Amino acid sequence: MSTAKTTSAAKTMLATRDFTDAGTGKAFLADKAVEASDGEMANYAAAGLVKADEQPAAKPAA
Amino acid sequence: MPGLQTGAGSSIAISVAAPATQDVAGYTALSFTEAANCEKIGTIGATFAKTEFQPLKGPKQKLKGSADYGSLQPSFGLDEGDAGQTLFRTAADDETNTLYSVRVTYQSGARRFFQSRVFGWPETIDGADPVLMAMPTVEICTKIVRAPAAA
Repeated sequence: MSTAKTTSAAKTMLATRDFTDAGTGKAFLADKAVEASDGEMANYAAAGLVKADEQPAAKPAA
Repeated sequence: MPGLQTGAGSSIAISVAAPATQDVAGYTALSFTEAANCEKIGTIGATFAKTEFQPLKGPKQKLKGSADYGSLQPSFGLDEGDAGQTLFRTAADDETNTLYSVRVTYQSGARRFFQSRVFGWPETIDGADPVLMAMPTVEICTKIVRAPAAA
């Protein structure tokens, strides 16, 4: 089983709504970052439960 | 030690990924998402069509015909916030012939793996008191791979 975690280099994935994963016992809140293995994330994405965070990175203070 | 077991503690899980190989190693490399609130899983196992031939002399001969890997009709207490149920529903709504991988885990820890297509996600409202149920039909499309419980 893949145990790879999403890294800072990978695009952050956000929950599209509140959901839970009965197998891992994890719960996720809408619009919050989802941390999961690559395989778990693929399942969540296929189910429409996560989306890529399209927010541009914050600009550094002037 | 192997012995009798009940269904308690059994589970069903689904993955969008396909195994690289149709064996235990291929399936255990996948990440599965368990569907919560499963009440029943159903009957797992292939059946074969029976082809008969009655010669003029001698007994009837019976041959194995084509295989049908079978189907499951698990029943779930509907939970729209559950990732596993949502992925089963996605598989049901998928209008292509994409195969989804399924893992059934027994009380003993033994597992059964196969690829399937999900034919519908009917939801049942059966009166005021019963919990809303979903009963998809999971058609098994590949040979069932059996993994024993870990020693």
